[in-house]
Amino acid sequence: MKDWSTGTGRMPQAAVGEPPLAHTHSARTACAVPGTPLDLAKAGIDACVHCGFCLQACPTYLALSDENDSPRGRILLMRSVVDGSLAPDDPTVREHIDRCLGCRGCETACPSGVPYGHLLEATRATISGKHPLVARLVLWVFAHEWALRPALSGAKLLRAMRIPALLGKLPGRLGFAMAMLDSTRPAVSRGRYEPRGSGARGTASILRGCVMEGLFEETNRATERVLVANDWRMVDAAGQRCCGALHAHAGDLEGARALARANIDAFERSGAETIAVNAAGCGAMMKEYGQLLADDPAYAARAAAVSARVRDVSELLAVAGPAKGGALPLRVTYDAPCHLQHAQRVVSPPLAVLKSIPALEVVPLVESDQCCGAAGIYNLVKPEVSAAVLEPKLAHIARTGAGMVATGNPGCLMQIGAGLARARSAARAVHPVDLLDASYAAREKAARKRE
Amino acid sequence: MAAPAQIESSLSGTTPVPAKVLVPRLAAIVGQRRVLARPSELLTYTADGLPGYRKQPAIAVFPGTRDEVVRVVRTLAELRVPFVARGAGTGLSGGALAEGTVLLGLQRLTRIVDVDVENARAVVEPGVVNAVITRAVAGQGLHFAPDPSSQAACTIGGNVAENAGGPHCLKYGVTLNHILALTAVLPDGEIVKLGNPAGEITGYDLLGAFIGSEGCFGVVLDVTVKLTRDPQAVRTLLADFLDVDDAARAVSGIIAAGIVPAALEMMDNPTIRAVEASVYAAGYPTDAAAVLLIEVDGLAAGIEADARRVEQICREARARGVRVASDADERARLWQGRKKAFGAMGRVAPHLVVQDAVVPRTKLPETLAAIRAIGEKHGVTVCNVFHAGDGNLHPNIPYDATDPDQARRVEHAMSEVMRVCIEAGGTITGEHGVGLDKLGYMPLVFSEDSLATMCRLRDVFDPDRRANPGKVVPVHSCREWGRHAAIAPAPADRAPAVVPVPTAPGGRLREETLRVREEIRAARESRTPLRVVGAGTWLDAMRPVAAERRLELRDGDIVEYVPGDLTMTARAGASLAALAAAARENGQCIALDPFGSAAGTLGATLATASAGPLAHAFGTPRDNVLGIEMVTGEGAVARGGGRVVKNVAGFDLTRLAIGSWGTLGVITEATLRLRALPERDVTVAIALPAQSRATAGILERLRSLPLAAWALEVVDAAVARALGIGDRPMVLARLAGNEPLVAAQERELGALGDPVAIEGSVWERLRAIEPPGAIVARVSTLPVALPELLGDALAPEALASRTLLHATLSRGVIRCILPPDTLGMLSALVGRAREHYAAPRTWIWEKLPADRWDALAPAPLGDRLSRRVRDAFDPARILNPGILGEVVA
Repeated sequence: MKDWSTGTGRMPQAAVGEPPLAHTHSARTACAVPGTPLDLAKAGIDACVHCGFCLQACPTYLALSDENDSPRGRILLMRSVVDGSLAPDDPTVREHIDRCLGCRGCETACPSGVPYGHLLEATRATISGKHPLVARLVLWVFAHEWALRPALSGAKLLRAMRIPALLGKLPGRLGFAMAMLDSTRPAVSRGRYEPRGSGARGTASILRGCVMEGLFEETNRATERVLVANDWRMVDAAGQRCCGALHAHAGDLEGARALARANIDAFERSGAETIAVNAAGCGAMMKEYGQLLADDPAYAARAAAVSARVRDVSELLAVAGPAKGGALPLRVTYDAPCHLQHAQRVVSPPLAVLKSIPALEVVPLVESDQCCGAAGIYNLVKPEVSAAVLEPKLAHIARTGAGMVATGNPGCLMQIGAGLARARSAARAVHPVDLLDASYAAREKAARKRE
Repeated sequence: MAAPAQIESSLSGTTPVPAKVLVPRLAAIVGQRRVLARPSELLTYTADGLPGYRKQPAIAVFPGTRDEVVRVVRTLAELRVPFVARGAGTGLSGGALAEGTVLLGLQRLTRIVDVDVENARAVVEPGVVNAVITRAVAGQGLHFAPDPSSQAACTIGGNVAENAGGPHCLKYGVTLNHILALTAVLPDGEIVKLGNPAGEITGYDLLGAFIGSEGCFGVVLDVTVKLTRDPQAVRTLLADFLDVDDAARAVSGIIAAGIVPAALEMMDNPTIRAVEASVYAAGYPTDAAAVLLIEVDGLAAGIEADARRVEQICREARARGVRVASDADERARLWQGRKKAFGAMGRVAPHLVVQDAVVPRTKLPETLAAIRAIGEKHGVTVCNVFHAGDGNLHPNIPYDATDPDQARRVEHAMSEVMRVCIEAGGTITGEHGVGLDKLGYMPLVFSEDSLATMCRLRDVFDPDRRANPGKVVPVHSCREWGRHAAIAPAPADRAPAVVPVPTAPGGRLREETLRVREEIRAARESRTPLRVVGAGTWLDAMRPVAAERRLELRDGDIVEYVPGDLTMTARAGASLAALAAAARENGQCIALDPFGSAAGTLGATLATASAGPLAHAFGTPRDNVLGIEMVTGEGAVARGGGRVVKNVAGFDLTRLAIGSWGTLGVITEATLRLRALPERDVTVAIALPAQSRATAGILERLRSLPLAAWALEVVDAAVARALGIGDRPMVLARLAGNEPLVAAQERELGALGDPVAIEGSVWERLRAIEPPGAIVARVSTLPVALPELLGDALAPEALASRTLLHATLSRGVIRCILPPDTLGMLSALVGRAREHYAAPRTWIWEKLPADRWDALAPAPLGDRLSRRVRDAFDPARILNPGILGEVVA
């Protein structure tokens, strides 16, 4: 992938040969915001020919029906900031850029290859004024380990007391947040088993992640178990931090870079050949460390090397087969996390994992490639739009008749989980790895019974 | 950037409307959030899918319901404010841009109102995305056939406005051929229903005129679309060539072989490389000079033979390789690459000019060579990606608009490309529309009279010219026609540097056209009504025409016939028999075979919109005519359409003239689309049982049989006797195609009875079945209702045992012929028939005794819009007055 976020970015012309008309637009046009991240990313803006093919891929356009809330509308706003027809602090720019989920569904619809995700981050970094209080608080907490740990521990304590289950029925933002918290309770119960594998596939470290380790620790353990069962040897990567995705998406590129450096250090130290990530958003961020730090001489090459080692856990499992487990007679549907489907372009591996589980019925989900509205902390900052995006998703899920919705990202798990609970659905959101893990546990149990 | 403080009203002399008055009025209808007036929020609406144009609307308003649309339009009418309707804004002609006016966004009207699988149709709101219609009926064996490349995003309202095409319209036709009816709100706020969802169109084809009117005639509220049965089998082939000329020759070869592919697309090397660099990479060979993407579809039986023949033709044309898509995934990938090719150009350069010219298919090689030379001369890269089977070129030039020298060279190159295409006998736009972008080219293909006549038509729908002002027809063309628009003609950002074409269009009119013009002008002066007559075969219809003087059309020449293009241009006085004979000599046929006298002329067939058995497969005259020349009641010689198979330049005078019975103008010339005669052409007859219930059952099954018949007609026992093929009701089927295809269809028909092969001449005899002096009426209805209706009608005890009766099943049309000696019982018969064929049937009388027209035939000109069309085209009412049953003053 080419680097769009820095001044060295060029159109991916290699495959197109050398067109006689060089792409010189950005070189010639004066920029109204020189030196800003947006200025450096403007070659990406020029790739947009305004064809509109992105409209139907954009959840906020589908929910709000205003082209200002569509990719090409936002790109036009970015262009206007670059050419000076709108000021960087123009409220229109702010409003519609803020309203973007960052799902990058438009990228997989764009024939011109506009690097929308990078443009969005560059724009947010350029126009960055004040974020809403909620957002600032969350970003601050996630950047500070000493604040993050107690926050997540407190949340877990609440959850254990079943308080969120009660408060989750309340209307409004608080109710939804509580429902999200409650939805992080393990969705499948499984017996204990000791994973056995040859370790022949080499060493792997998992990114523990903040939310994953804080609220989905059982999924993290399951990830380690299924990787071992599929012949990886797990090594710890001590000193790892939050991946920085939340900060990058919010336009806090420096904050994101600081976290990225810490993680690069940690994963270099671990020496693991593979970095396994079970949170799609974090995986997408880590795969882009190389671009994030391209202008940092001390880290550019190391960042690229770390990025190259990152895999979504489903990619690893799909490559491995994965090993067969025991029967799990459930009806499951799969919803693709945007940062897996559109950012990482990992489409079939999670389905391959699910389909490998004996007796598991996988029913297709209409518009499974559309965003659920979670988008990091978007559902807390823009609850109305988020709810409007979630609504059709819940309707499609209901129509599948599935008891489980598999999706490999904590934000999506909580958004869909909370949505289902508040819609009084019995269905639960679950990480695909948890299902595979439960299947392995079931095999173990059956084997014990035979003995 | 400052907000325009007020919106210019369209009528001179009226006070401009301040935005601060308009915004609250509109917000009261649609809600505050749905009215945008901040310039920064309007920025995204300054462009549509065509790069290079930016026009800032004053206000954008987004109604959410049909009722809100109507109220918004009425408010704008009251304040006389111009507006531009917009769907997804994916158009490629700058058609949906509003300069200083109100932009009316329809993207919130996304309801699929009704899906009727039985009758293969759906009613949808204008904001429904094209691909969503097909998705809504997925699994039902149906789809919506028009497939513009933007189908994943573009809306049906926009498809109607532009008469959108797409790769598969080569075989299936454009949007026009797939819309049964629509409801629109006219710019003055009146709601009109056009077309007929449950039968034949009566009166003027205002539906046909509306489709492709580029938002100048009104705002669509709902559309009844026709759904097409999914093909049983599809083969998608990718042929790659090291020479563009070879690819072009392969295109001609395929068409000449009589194969009608579902799609036949060409992409040249720069396009291939742009696509292969995108997320839609399809595996096209990046070193090929050109690839052809060819799809054949239809019944499984015939498909292999067609695919093999296509492959062979490609190899004979020196294709390096021919690859057949092995599964649905590969097929989808091959198509995705093609459909996203335009967007992929964004990789090459920041700006792009997109052209849409059409040339006759046989001129493809020389046109492509000329385009290449033009590109080289001006030092610009032309990327060709186009519908080769239609001759619909899309030469695109990616460039950098900020470089004035480059921009100027691109402009010159484009203008020269356009001239080459026009000189080759082509037109300026095949599917994108004129919009703003091609406004400057309109005078190159249409005479002043034609453009002025188009303005006349616009004025019928929108006398204030408030709907999409300044588009389609250059304003100066309209000016002489009285009311002037105060909206300044939108000067194109990139005004085409027009290179004059040596012979101006309409410059050389044929002698007879001049004579007809003189006669009409004289008649208008003297207020002498004229009866327009070709061969006179319609005179015995006894229509009450209040004219003594005859205007006769005698010129029967074939003006141009290029078999390789499958088009024929002939004068209106030509007999259909003569045209059919000329086509047959070249292994082709005209798909016009109307019931009635074989001596009928081309002009009369079109004027009366008469159809025959072939309409089952090929539709009626509106589906087979590419362009016409007519002399209006005002004595203007106007051309609609052109001589190429795909054309959306200008308002559709062609559809308007067809079926207008000469009351708007006299058709003097027409260009027809021809069909290649099939390898095998077999007619079989199947006798039907005598009981009505059983007959209905068989007809019901017949409807669902997988057949690709050219004609499928049900005849009653009296007709069968008259044809000498038996004395029971029969199904007649004309099975055409390659050997295996015909054999398979015979087998399918065997399930219904015992198909007996009969002479193909039976069709000629069926056409001429009516005895002289007969009374003829047509009843049309929903296809699903027909079997039962026919089952009863065909039974021996049925009401009119003395009638002759036959029906075209797929069209839902029954034609009843009453011998002259039934005159005495006509009223009684009609009464019983009316009872039997109760509403919502559509009645059309073809022939009646002179004194019965008033009593029996409702005047189709009852509506205000039709009367206004008549007034606009024939204000003195000198052409065939009374022929449509209207009251003659």
